[in-house]
Amino acid sequence: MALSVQNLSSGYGRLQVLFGISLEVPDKSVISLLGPNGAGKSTTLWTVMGVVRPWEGMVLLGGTDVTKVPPHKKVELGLALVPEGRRLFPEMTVEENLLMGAFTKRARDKMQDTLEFVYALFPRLKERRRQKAGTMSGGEQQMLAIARALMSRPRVLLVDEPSAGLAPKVVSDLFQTVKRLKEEMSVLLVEQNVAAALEISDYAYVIENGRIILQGKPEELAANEHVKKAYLGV
Amino acid sequence: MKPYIPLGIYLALMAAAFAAPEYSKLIASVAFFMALGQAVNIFVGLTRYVDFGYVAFLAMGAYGVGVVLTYLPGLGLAALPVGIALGVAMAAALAAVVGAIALRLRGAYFAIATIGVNEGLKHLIVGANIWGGGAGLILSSAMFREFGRETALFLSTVGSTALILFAGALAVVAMYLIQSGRAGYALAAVRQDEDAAKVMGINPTKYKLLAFMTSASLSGLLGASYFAVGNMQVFPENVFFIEYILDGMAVMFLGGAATVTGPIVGGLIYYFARDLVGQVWPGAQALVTALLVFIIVVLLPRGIVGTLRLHLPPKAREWLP
Repeated sequence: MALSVQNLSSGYGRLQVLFGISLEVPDKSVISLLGPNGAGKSTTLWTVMGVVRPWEGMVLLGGTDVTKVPPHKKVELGLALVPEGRRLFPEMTVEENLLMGAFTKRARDKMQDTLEFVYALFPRLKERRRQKAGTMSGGEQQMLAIARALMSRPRVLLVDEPSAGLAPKVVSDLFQTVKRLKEEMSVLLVEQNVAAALEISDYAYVIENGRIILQGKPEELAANEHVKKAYLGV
Repeated sequence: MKPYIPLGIYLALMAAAFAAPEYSKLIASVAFFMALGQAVNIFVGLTRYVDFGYVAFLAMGAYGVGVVLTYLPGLGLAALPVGIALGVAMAAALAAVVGAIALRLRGAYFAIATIGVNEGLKHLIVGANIWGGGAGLILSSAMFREFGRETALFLSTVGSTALILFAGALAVVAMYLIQSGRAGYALAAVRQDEDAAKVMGINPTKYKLLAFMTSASLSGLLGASYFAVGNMQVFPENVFFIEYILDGMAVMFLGGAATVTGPIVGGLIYYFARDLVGQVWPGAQALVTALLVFIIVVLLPRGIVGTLRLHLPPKAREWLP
């Protein structure tokens, strides 16, 4: 199992957000975590990373317990996060943002190879590599955010709401690229755009109020009455 | 980035202090603001954290020289490097302790957490009556004894000026090394988005601590040079005077935060603005300089050098770091 989250609880201050989340991300798969605003999707990812401190439960990366490992060391171990809202370094150029992604020692040694890999994946970024990150379109910024995380050569990539604010055509292109990534790694995708996410997922979880309420193969979830009503609008 | 212009200015001022010793006190007064801004810039400019206890680092430097001269007689001229080394080490150690605890906090919380460091240390020295207590350390007789009268007087004038300028030049070199390496990128990332930096594999505390300890060490050197060597005395009320951090930040913002040449320009303007106000309206310096900083921050948020750099072609920008 590439990533295994067991009974994870966390929150902010005294406010508990997650109540015992468990999920599994097998090798070379795309797994989705779906749910409405405020359900705890982003908190799950930030807790897995360790930026938000876990209260209870375990995070296993490739079978090793990394629950208490600080975020920068988790990156070294092969975990990467594409944060919601991109969180690029706006004053840096596209290429500088990418080089920041290869900050860890393991990534730095293979930087040129990885750079070629992400430029092949997103040729647009190569054309814009001298441009300030903050001046690009939303779709391009999302590509850069994903590419920057790939620069750390993750085994597991956590992607938070990549579709937010993007046109449907841009979203479907982006998701096809995400699907291609599973040849190289595992992806845990957090989304509100349930239909688009189910299309590229191998398995999916639905989170509401900090708890996993449903899980299954995409076709099972797509047939579920609650999912249909609440998320697919049918 | 080419650090030759700011380095050249410090070296030229140093040459001027040796060539015209009668002006060395004036040069020292201006250079103090430049070097202070330069040292503060390495921490505040590169991390955007504010430390209200920062002046304690100046004090540690001054006490290093003061303590060695007072309590370790018989070292002769070696008392100067030993004292400076002790002062710098105490400043760095204090920064390591404060930083390791407080640098995990975000901006405003860090500022609040550090506010007591300066006053706390001052009251410790005065209250527990250590290192001369409230009466401070008078160093002139010890300096005459250890160095000889002529050398002591030379050290307290030209020597102190040269040391202050050396601290400024060293801060330029430190800034250059940090900015042109991995640490510069890491700090830029932390400044723009600390959580995003963390998930890039950057350990923010490590790089903030690096900038903090570098900055503190340089301020230790500056405090030793200006107070202990230059004024031949260390008074707690002087060396813990909290306004110096405001001066340092004013100089930095005037010139341009995170620029290398900025504190030189800022220090020059700040010194002469205060001097002019002091002559026309004695006692109103703090009021007017606060207004000056306010205007600069509103109208030129990047400071003078920072704004100038925006309008320069890339090649010229290299030369005005």
